[in-house]
Amino acid sequence: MTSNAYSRMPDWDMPPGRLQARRDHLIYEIRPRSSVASIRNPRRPLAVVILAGAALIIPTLALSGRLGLFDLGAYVSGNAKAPHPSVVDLSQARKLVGMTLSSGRALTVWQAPTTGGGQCTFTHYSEPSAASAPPTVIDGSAECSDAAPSQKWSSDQPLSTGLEWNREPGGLYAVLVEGLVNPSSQIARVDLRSASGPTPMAFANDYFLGELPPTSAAGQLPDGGPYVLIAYDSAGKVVATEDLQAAIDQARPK
Amino acid sequence: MLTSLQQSSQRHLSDGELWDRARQGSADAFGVLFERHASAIYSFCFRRVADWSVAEDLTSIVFLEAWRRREKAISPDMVRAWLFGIATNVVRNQRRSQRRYRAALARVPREPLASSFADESDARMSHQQEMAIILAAVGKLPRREQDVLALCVWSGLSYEEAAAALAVPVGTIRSRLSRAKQHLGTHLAGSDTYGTCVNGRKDNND
Repeated sequence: MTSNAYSRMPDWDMPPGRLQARRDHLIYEIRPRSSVASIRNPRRPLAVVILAGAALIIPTLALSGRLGLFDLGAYVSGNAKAPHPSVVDLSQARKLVGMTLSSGRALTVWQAPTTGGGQCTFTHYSEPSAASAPPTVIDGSAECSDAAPSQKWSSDQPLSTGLEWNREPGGLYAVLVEGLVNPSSQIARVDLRSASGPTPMAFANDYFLGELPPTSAAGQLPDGGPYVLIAYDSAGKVVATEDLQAAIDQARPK
Repeated sequence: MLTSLQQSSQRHLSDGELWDRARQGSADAFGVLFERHASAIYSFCFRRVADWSVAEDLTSIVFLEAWRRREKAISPDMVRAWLFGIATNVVRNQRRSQRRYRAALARVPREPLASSFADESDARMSHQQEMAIILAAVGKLPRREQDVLALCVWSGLSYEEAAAALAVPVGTIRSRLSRAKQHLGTHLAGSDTYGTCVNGRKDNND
């Protein structure tokens, strides 16, 4: 047996199913996370975008095209999701809002100026311990403008909400809710209400983030609904509500 | 579905072409590289730790680490060697590597093994025990000699590949391997076969 120490040893495959599981896990870990729709286009009224990894790219493009949102394909389909780093001054990146996901990772939203006088808003996934550290690269989704974004809120709705489905290694989809509020709406808090009760969303700088329980199908809300966003002012008065299922139904192509 | 289509369309590409695409951010191209070299890296890691489960985690770490360093320009024909170089470092700094990627590893699905795997499982357990004995003997060698032995002899890398993996001159590989064989002969008496590296090809019986 010890002669093996002197000779070529055979290669072994991983046990059945493990190579695929490890490959899927690797891809999950390295693939930039998908977009946050309303953050890409922060002055829009309600927008719901369905993103579930590569499998739903085409439906996503169709949906976003119908809504006239933004050039999603440039960010999603080619993996070259980030704008050229030389145009974004990451040294001036400002953290808008962040939260720790049930997966253990931290999701943060950042804003940074571009060298051309524009602005980029982008998401960043990291370990929680690094959630406050300014990103050195743009590795998530990004929404950039060549000019300074308009400060005019283009809707009479106080909330602009986006939904995102990301496929997890186990096959379920993590569901994220994100959006922003009309700065003049005096909204001070946003809760997500479900059958299990209200859950406060991460909220800062007019941006909010939250997570729903995982679901087995992209584009669908998990059991335990209805899921309703409730926005309060500083006195606790309800300023706005948003039924997420209704928002999805409204955004789907007819 | 699009992912599999993209990967299928890239499976004919060389390692160098895949690496170039990975450097530009293509996770799919990197996935093809994983499929192509995972078993070799997995086997290499196993030979260094004598534990199949740990080897699986180390394999993931090797590729996550390679992705993290994807800005590095690599000679097109040395991508595989470079992965072995990362694997060598990951094994050497096993605890630190596992700590760094602890959160990522926690997300690896732990699926039950298929019942058809039972027979092979026995063989793996036996091999694991044998490998532990070999490592106990080889562990008496200086670490640098162990690295060359594992790369050249056990894994079949050429001198050039081993040199690229360890970022040392080819002559250094030759001398380390020579010393490793001398030292190994002292520690393991009664050996019958020597392996070595050759220029671009592996020969088990020089």
